[in-house]
Amino acid sequence: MRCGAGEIFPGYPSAVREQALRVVEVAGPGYEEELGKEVRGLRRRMYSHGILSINAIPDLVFRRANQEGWENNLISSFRVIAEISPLSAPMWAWMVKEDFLRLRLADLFYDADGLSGALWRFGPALMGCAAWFLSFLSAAACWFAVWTSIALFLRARPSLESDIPRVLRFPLRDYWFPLMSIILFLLPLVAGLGLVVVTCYWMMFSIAYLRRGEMVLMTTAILLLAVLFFGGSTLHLIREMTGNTPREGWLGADGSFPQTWPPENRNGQLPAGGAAPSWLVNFSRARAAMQEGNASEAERIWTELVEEGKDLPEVRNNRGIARAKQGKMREALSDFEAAYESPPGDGAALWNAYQGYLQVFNLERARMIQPLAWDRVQRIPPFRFRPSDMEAGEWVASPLPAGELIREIRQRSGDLVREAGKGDLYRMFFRPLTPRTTLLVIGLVWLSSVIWKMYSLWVWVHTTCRSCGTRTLVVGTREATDFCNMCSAQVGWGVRAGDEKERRIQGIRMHRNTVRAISVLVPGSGGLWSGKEGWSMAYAALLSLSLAGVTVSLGAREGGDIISALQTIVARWAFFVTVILWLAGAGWGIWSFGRMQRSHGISGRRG
Amino acid sequence: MQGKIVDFGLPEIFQLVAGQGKSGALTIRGDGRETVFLFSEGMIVDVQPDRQRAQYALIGNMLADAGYLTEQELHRILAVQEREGKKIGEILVERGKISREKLAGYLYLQVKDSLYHSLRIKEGDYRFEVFAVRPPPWMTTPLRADVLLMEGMQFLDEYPRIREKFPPGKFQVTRKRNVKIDPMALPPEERVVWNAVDFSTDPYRVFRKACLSWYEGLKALWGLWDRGLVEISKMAEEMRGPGRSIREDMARRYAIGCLRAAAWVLAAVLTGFWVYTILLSPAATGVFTGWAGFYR
Repeated sequence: MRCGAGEIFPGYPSAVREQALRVVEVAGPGYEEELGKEVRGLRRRMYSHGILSINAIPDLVFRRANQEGWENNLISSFRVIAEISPLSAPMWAWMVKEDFLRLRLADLFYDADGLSGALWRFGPALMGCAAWFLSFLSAAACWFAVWTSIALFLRARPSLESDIPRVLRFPLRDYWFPLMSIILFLLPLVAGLGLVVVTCYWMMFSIAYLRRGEMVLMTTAILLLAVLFFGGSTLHLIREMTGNTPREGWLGADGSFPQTWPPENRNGQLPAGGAAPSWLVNFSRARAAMQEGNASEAERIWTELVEEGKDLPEVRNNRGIARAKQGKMREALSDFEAAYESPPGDGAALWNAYQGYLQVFNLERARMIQPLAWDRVQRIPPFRFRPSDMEAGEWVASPLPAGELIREIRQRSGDLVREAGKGDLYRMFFRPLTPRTTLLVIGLVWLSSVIWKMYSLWVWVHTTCRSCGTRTLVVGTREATDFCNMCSAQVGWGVRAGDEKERRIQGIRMHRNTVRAISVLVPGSGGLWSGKEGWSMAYAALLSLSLAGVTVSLGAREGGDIISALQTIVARWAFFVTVILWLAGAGWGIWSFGRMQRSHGISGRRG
Repeated sequence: MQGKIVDFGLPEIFQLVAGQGKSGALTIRGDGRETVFLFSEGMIVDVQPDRQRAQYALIGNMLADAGYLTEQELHRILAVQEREGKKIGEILVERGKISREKLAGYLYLQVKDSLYHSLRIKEGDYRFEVFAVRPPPWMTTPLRADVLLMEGMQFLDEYPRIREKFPPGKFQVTRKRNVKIDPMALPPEERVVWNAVDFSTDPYRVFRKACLSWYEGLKALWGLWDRGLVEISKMAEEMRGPGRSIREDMARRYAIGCLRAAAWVLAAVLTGFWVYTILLSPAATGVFTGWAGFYR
């Protein structure tokens, strides 16, 4: 490491910083024993300051491993480092990946437990996970809506081309109307409308020609657009509330030190109506003060929180530590007791009470709670404290209750529509609609589809024979008129000879080429032509998920070295799966369409 | 009422409409064109041939082919028609270009021609919409659909037999030199063709001049040829095979298909670029990868 410990580990006491730097320097393949010694030294110093995790260490070790070429042997070092960086979700994720690739089943369960513990106990990790899930869902919804709208428009195109001339009349119709449908298709793209408006527009043009199964497909796409709306809004709310990153916001007091905090008013309170809930920010402030060694300031904030009504076990436990460090052992013990007695019984508080009793020589009380304290403290994922190693009177602090973040966001669910317009996702995908009109437009598209479906039982519109491409004016359900009479009678290329047969052969060939081309460009949409809407929908969902994997992984470089490396792997795999699915979808579409044609007597050769 | 011609033939439809004395419009689509017959109480009172695909059957062009109008006059009349919104027949009668009786004859011919052509359509669809139709003023005696239909059926039966007597493809007709004959001795249809045969060597224009349908004209021409009064010869420049028009039509459809495919490929490229911009470009993925910031 070329830079100073203060630059790498800002905010921590100097003794912790220097030891942390030693840990990073010692880590390497074959040095696990030395690393273990340094880690134990660091852990003692961390616990004496109420520090639970230093998340920068795994990233720095990973960077060293990457530069020095021992990335594949990283897991042994990570397993030791896990004691001092248990809240590093990227580190646990890397270990899970390694366990999975090397088929170490026992380790896999252990590390997966650590990962889930880090996600549930560390605010940024929980929020990052929620943001990833929402981003992934939104991206999948976008891909599904794009696939569906294009596939349905192309499915409706031949009929649309026949119906446009019934409304508009001008010369050279044979040449103009195919172009007209392309212009209709490209118009919203050229106009620069957002994805949601474009897909709704395409679906609107295909509504009149949809079968029941395709209506289900369209309804699903519309529902997913609504999911995109609320998902984007929730993402915006999360970012606004948490400050987006642990270092730039207020959230990461455990694991890394925040460099900015929401502004306070003169009374030291957060402004009313601010995005971040004030008590959670103050919790983080108090935790930061504890870790810096400022026990009196920490105690002041903890007391404020208790007086505000946030008398949580975590708050009590941490105030107890702050008081114990100032020598106020009686008050500290009353806090620890209050913490572990309130349900569900905080394991950390129980341990701290045990330590407190030992320090005031209340050995009888200590002996009474010792078995339970030892048992409970070992079972706090992802920390997994080892009581036998904690012989120097270490205090176990309580991290910010990350679950409260989810609760706070749920309480603000009423703001989702109002807040939606401020999000990046909304600005990108919903322009030029306003948040309120968006829901109205989405609802209207769906409603118009239902009305059209009913209205089309009485209105004459064209249908295109799925098998041979012949267009006929029909009225009533699409399902009953899906095939022309020739195909229904399975007469193949036709019973008559001469020009009629020649024309039919040409029509069938052109139709087949069209469907094949569509199947390649919009894979799986060939299934719509062969009447397999259910399978097509399942395929579209799979394809959308894999493409969403590419979208949310490409360019995910902000999260540090481990996250970048993991996302590169995910992006490659998602891309590989997408290519496989694309090829399979194209092949399946062509095959199923050919099979349907054969079932109607249209063979692959000239009859 | 709507359906496909293969399922329910046109003769049956005409019979049904005529028999029940219905009023309305019968639209027949097939062979790449759309023809509308107007019925008033079961009688055919007007026809609207396809303006794009059957221009030869439009009344203005029929009269131009028959020599009653020059091309320039026809264009002027069409301009007047567009300006005043009147029927072309009304304008011609008002301007004295043609008598009311002659116009009625050509309108009758127009109906017959359209009907004969429609009866030959094997694949297509029809649609009958019921509404009140008032016969146009020049239609002094509405045409009985059942009578016309019988003539039409006769045409369907006889036409192939008569047509094969003439050279395949295009042919021309000329009056035989030094032949003297009393036209009154000829049957009426042969007489009008005989009188019109000097008008043009193109039998189509001769029949137009004689105000006869192609089928009636051919029948009369065959009579004259059989009597040795006219000479029929194949057009030197027209050595086209019988399937050429079909091939041309198919080639046209293929060309349109290729143009359409090329245009859609271009659209696919544009759409692909759009999809890349909104879901895969760095700007787009930046929106979706904000989650990574939580692990910084």
